[in-house]
Amino acid sequence: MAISGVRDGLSRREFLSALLVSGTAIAAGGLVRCSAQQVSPLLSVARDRSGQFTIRVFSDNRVQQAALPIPERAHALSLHPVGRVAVCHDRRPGRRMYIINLENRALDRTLEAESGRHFFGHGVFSPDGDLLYTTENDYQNGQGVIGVYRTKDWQRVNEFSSHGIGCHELKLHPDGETLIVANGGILTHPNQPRKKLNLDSMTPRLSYINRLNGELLEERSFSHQQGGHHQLSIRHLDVAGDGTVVIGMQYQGDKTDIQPLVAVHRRGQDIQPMMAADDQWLELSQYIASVVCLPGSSLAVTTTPRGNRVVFWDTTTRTQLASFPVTDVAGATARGSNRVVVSNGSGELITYVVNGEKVKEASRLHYPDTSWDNHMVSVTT
Amino acid sequence: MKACSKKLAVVGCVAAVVSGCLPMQPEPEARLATTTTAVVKPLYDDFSTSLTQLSEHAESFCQNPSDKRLTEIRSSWREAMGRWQAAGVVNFGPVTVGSVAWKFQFWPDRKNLIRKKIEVALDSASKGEKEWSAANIAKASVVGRGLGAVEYLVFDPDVGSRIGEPVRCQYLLAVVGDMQRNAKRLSKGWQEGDKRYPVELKELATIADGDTEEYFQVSGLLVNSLYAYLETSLRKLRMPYGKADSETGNAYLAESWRSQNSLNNLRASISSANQLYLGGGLSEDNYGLDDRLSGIDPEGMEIAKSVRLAFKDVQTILASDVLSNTTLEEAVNTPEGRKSVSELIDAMNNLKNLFVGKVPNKLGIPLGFNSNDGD
Repeated sequence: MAISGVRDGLSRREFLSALLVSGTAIAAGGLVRCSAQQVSPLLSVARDRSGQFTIRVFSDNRVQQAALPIPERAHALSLHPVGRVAVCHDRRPGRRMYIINLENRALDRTLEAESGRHFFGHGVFSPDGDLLYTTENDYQNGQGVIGVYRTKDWQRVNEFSSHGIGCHELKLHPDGETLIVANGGILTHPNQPRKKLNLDSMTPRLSYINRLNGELLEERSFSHQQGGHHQLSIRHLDVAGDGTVVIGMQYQGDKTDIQPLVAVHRRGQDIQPMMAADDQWLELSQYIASVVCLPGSSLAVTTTPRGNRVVFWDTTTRTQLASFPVTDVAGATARGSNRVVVSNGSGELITYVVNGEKVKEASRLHYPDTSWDNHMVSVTT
Repeated sequence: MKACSKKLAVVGCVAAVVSGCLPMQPEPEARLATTTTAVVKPLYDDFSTSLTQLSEHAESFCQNPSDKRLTEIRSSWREAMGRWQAAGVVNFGPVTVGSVAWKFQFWPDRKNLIRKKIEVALDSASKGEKEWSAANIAKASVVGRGLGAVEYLVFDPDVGSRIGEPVRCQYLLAVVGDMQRNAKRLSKGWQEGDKRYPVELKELATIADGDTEEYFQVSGLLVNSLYAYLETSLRKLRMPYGKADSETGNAYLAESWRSQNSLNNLRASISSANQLYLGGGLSEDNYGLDDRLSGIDPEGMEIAKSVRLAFKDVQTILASDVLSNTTLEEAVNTPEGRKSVSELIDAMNNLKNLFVGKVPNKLGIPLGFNSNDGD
């Protein structure tokens, strides 16, 4: 697959904007509004009222979208660094990975997981886009692995250990060489798809892995001594331009145990929890769905559908900057250094704008007959 | 009379479809917003008033402790707890700002954290290290605040009789004062006026210019709120009841085991949930989700009827002789009581399931897509 940064004299951004302007297209249930609008697209999985799942390429500016049907619920999407290809990853314990051609808004192909593996829902490309790394379960051995795919022909060319159990989200460190992996620590098996098999003994880890040879460079647990707990499953993360990693956790213990669900990590240091009052942790309902770092700033955003809340954090002071109630909110993506869009199960896209230390809701757009899934990505951030 | 108005609503709906209009116009959502405010505002006002009474009784007791005055505190606590249970069904609007619900009630408390937290706080007061007030307790952990804290202080079988001790009284007054302040804020948030929540709620009922889609935000708030509340209420029964094949439950897992008030809590919850669902009641002037469903089509009317019956089933069991003459804490440990609690759980489950399936489906409201995901 040839992948380049420009096409027919169009920049990547112009090309993608054009994609949506002409992207009248599919529209489950005739949802498209036919007004030309220059916007860079968002991507997410969604479900409609009939139970059909689709991968949507859509706008947060007006209701316009392309919808690509898929057979089951998926999870996250990864964007090729050049931008004409996206990959949608099956939800645990799914075995499919969808290659989306953004040029013609079509599913190029569907890949099946390797024998003895299933996907965990996340992936990330190498800086040049030649390789895709995915989190997978070696379920016979109960170990997390990173699958390595060559994007030229989508062959699976390698795998290495995630250095933990139940790896989930992974991101590329700004150094371009290091994968940052959330090893959630929860053992699962496709024979009991949603059952957690080791809650008493789970040991989540944040792992830094050399993407070229799979070498473990650094790993951190979030222990009791550091204010954490072994049942805080490290599942979602994002990394800022300076290498600061923000992690979002899901606590497997009692509903009213007071646990820090969001923390920051910098290489060579301990994991440090964000600081919040007991009720601020309790209202997150032990569950973080998405973590997003705003580029060029010290801010991060987390979402919790169980707590119905969007929280803005300052990673420098490790404090809450703002908090908003949003029903069933999960997806989140940055749109520049001071703008964040979140999505929810009610079909809403809500944009927040940060101005200094103030955050306010700037707009709210509703997609009819749509439940946005767990994650959302923006083609340009 | 209400049935008549519902029939008219269906006729109107059919007429609208025949004439080419959408079956649902903004007006039902706007009506729903108006009646929701009318139902909810008194819930917070009454809660705030009940806390004022609790405060007066607490002050009176602390100035001159006596068994009679302690009984008054306990009685006003039961009243306040019932009012909070009634208001607790509202899971939208001002209560979602500043995690205030947690400030009124920390639950469940499986590890008896309330006791531990409060005794540590009292210990620091006894040593003169801390003097508790409504202002400084507002900065303390929610574990040692709210109605659960007051229940511990005045009902706990081990220490409830020591409430006359100055440090305990001081802490009691601080907790009640903190709640009063928060309740007033909630009550104020639901008053009519600029930048108050009723205005925002009305705006949610307004469909944007040029937007012809069906997007029922007020219905969505109500369904989400009722579903979440019924699920929590069900949990408050299941936890002390334990396993169905067991002969005994665990009374200490009941919501208000110290005061033996858990069944009364549930009665207040269900009554309030029913009122919110009905938009205030069955009179023709009221307009709730019941009318909203009935106005869609005959199937919606059937679903509305099912919900009314399901509420009635729950309330009938709660009013039964067996449960009227006992407490939940006792009932989960007797054969006859367990049978009634089991029936109550089934009836509650049936009611909750309507708010998981048929009700949101008919209204086109997605429910819990991400919150139930688990990834």
